[in-house]
Parts: sequence; C-alpha cells; structure tokens
Amino acid sequence: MDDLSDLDLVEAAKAGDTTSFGELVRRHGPRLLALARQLVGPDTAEDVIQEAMVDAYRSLAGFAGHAAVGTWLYRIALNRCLQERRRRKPLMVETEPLELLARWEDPDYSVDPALVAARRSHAETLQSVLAQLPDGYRNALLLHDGQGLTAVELAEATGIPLGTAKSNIRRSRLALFTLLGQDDRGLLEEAR
Amino acid sequence: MTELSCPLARSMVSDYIDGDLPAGQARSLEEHLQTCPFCPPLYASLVETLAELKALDDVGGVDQLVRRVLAALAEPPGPDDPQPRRA
Repeated sequence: MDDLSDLDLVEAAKAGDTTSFGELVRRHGPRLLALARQLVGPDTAEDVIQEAMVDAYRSLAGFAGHAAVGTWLYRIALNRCLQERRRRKPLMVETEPLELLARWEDPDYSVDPALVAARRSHAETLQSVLAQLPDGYRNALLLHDGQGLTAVELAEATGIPLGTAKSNIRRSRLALFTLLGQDDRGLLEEAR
Repeated sequence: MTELSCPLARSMVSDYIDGDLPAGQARSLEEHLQTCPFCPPLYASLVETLAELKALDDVGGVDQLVRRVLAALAEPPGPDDPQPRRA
C-alpha cells in the first residue's frame, strides 16, 4: 500500500475498503496522537483519536479533496479534542496573552535565556505552560512549530482565517517564550 | 538603512524564522542581531524553544490505534451513536 497516495486510499475507503482506511490511520495516526496527548493528555489521547478516526470514516463521503487528507484529519481530530476539553472542568485559568505580549513593548523587558532553557527541557513543565495558553495559540504552536503545518494548513485544520492563523503563530511564540522566561521559582524548582 | 529598535526587531522575529519577512526587513533584522547586545541571546533561545516543540511529536502506538479503529468500524452505529470508546 506504500505506493498508494492518500487520495487513492480515501477513494478505496469510500468504496468500503476499511483496510485502506487503516493505512490512512497508520500514516497520520502518530501525529494525531502526538497532538491529542498535548491537548487532552496521554491517558485519553488514544480514545479521542479513535473516535475522531471513526468520525472521519463516517464522513468520507463529504471529503471533496479541497484540503489535503492530513489537514482534513487534523480538523476532525481537533474537533474531538476540543469536545473532550469542554467536557472536563477547566484545570487552569488561561493566561491573558495580550498582557504577556505587551511586556515586550518595553525596550528594557527581557527574560533569562538560561531560565527558558531549564524550563523548556522539562517536558512536563513545557506542557503545563502550553496548557496555560488559549486554544488558538496552543494549536498554532503544536501544529505549526511542532508538526510543521504551514500557516495555510493551520488555518484549514483549525477553521480560522489565514490572517488569524498567522497572527496566532506570531503571538503564540512570544507568549510561550515569555511564560517560560517568567521568574517563577516554583516552576523552576519543578523543572529541576 | 534605519536602525531597528529592540521592540520592533522582536516583533519581526517570528516572520523571519518562517522566511516570511521581506528581504529589506530581513537584512535590517540581521544587522540588528549582529550589533545589539541584548537581542541575539533571546533570538537564539526562542529558536531553540520552538525546536523543542518538535520533540513533543515523538509518540508510538499506532499499530494499536489502527486495530482499535478497525474494530470500532466493524461495530454497527446505534441510534444514538453509542460508539464504544474502547474497541
């Protein structure tokens, strides 16, 4: 099946060939799982992506090929992750992003790169900081910087205008960097 | 060419990383990064931080996911779509 394109597999799956659909899951599943682990946690990620893939199979007839197959699957997976996040009680109050970004308008504002390095190298700390960001920022970081989607693909996968996607990419990077660089001794201790 | 202020340079860095900055602005930013005593370590740290996000992409377990999805597809959907979460 390696020589078949994603679109070939979609057409075969539309005709009822679940093995072809399984190959699509095999190709795209690892990245979708990685995304879900960040958005809903490792314990729930596989359940959520399983449900998303069942959603995708059942909506194959509506796939017209306007977006890449992978982007279409991202969108379905993101919807399932969002449903799961809404179902839960909020674990953390999201950080106000504009306040973070405004700090950089002060020419004297800075962060300590050593502190940023210490905190980002600790996966749980990095994940906890990501969890503080608004959904649009977190999606931009995970999909654009984490998984390499272009701004256009990010916009398609998340259902937002391209201009918003580009803005989210810029702002989310600065927000993440600022949060990692905050002189928060508690988190620093946690990162050690 | 006009020298960039630090806040302006920092606002351009994200587009520069993505290669989306117009050539003239990119040159101005590069000049700033060569001469500013404050911005270069921040720029390097931001680039390294974004690279760290790629490491979050490293997961396995796709064979089990494929098995679960195919088993779930074999189950007929009920009237209220009672799709089992675990196949």
